Amino acid sequence: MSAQNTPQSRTSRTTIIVFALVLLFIGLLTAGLLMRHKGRPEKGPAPDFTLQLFDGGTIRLSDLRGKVVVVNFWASWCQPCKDEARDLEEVWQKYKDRDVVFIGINWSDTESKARAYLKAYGITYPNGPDLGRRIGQKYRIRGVPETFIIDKQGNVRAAIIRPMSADELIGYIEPLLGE
Amino acid sequence: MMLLPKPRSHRFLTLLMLALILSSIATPLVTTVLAGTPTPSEVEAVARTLYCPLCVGERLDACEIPLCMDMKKEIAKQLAEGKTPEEIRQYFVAQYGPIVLGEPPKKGFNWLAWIIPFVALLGAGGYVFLRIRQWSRGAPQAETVTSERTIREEETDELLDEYARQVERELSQWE
Repeated sequence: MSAQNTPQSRTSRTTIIVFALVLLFIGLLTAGLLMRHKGRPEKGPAPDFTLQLFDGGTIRLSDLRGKVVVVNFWASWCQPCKDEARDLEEVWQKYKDRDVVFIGINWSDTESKARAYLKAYGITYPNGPDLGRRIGQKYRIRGVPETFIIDKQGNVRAAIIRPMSADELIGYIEPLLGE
Repeated sequence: MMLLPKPRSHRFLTLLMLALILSSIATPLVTTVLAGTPTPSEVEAVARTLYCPLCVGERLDACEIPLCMDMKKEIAKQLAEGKTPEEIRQYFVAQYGPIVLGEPPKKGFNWLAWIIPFVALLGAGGYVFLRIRQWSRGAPQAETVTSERTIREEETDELLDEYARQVERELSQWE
């Protein structure tokens, strides 16, 4: 009987295989957790998306190069979203004829409530539902409101995880218009 | 000023228009009434198969947050429209993703959640099978060892006997 096939060598080989499998599993688990907690994009290229709008059209982020884009995630059940809704519309009215585009993304909501919200707050900039929450996943949304400011080159310049005032939003947009 | 009597064809057209308008209003109402207002238990039955998209593993029927309440109203509305529970489930999957079904989406890293239990089961089953086979093979080996030991004992006995005989022979020479 050769030394390689002794019961002791077989046992140690099994132990090594089991140990390697456990290590592989722990490694994959760690990689998954790290990916999940990678965090939202706060700089670099903005993840592209196409949004179906409530009014029937579609809008694609990558088609808006050369414009400053304000992407706002919101929901009708979210009180802080209501707090900033009128400010967002006010800033949109101020900048809509310049190189600025606002996009509202309705996240985890019902369509009827979302439409009622848009009507109640008189929101006129393009808005649509995040179907399947795919855009929210790209931007790693964990709640609402979350607002991303994207420059003319399509890079994220700021990620704001709270309701914003009109002045604060203008403070983000103005410098980017001059670039 | 003299009023001319309306021609018959005009009256017929007016009646026809009126009938069309009334039917267009009445049809959705009749459909709703025919489909029936769903009972709370019918809504609950669908809600029991769905999960809150914002909470962690909380079933829709037990969830009280505003979104869940809106989702339950949507279920009631769609049941009243005659949609099947499966159609309603598919609607919510399209709206919020597969998270509403309470299972991880079958893509990327999530595949591990589907594969690992089966791999672990196969691995454990295979290990148990191999151990059992090893044990069952271990039994004849023991017999062989026993028989080898018996042979060696017999040989030793023979040698001892031979030695004893030689001692007896030599002792008899001395006597």
